[in-house]
Amino acid sequence: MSKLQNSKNDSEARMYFVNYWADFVRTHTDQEWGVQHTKFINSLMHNAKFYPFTAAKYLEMKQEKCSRL
Amino acid sequence: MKFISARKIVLEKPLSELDQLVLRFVNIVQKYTSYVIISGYVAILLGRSRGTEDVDLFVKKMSFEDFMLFYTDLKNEGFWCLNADDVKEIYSYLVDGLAVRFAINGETIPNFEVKFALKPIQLVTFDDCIEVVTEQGVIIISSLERQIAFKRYYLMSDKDLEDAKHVEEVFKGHIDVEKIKKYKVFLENYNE
Repeated sequence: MSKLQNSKNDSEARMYFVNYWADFVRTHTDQEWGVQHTKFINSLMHNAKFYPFTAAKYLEMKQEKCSRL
Repeated sequence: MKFISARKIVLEKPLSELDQLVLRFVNIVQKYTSYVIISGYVAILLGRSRGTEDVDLFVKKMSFEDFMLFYTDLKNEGFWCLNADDVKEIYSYLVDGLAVRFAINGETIPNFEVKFALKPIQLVTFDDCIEVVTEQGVIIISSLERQIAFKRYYLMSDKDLEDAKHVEEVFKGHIDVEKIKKYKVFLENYNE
């Protein structure tokens, strides 16, 4: 697999990393990529517990119907 | 990740808390109706390294009686509906083609954005859906080609283009390119 490189701009850098990581997933066992991936996703799940908005506020931002106050 | 067939993938990674929450939710859903998970979570389940605030799923339309049982089951298992509390109101949103969101009691994200599959374009996702077999259960997702085409030619945000790229790269050699082209043409001529 290729090495990570600097890219010209943000979206190019992001797409480069997407490719890089997908390549890693494809060429490694589920256990190898999965341990890192799970740690990352679990940390996001932990952060979600501190989400500051109520359901009503969240749905207002999404412009979706809500009858909760 | 083992690509067993166009309809079955075996995933042997350690499941994240998000995966476990999805299994907990879909195990309730499938007691009452069929479901297909679409969009961002599909890419995440298949290894994409990003977060999401919601898991989108189409479910086949239920009768009001079945929906009442489903909603009661969800509540007993610790979920709440973000949109409303009244079962009639929630059901009316769904039959009107709107999405309703369910999350762990008192929490807002992550949530499950549930829609009745009412339109033909939504119903066809059930025809070629894929079983992802994990160590703790099965998760049904829409076909990889459909995912790629929708994200690349219909949704088209940076995040969607990246999700499409991820799925395409991970399943290089297993993707039916002609199918993607067919969906592309369909989406270009699709008016909601």
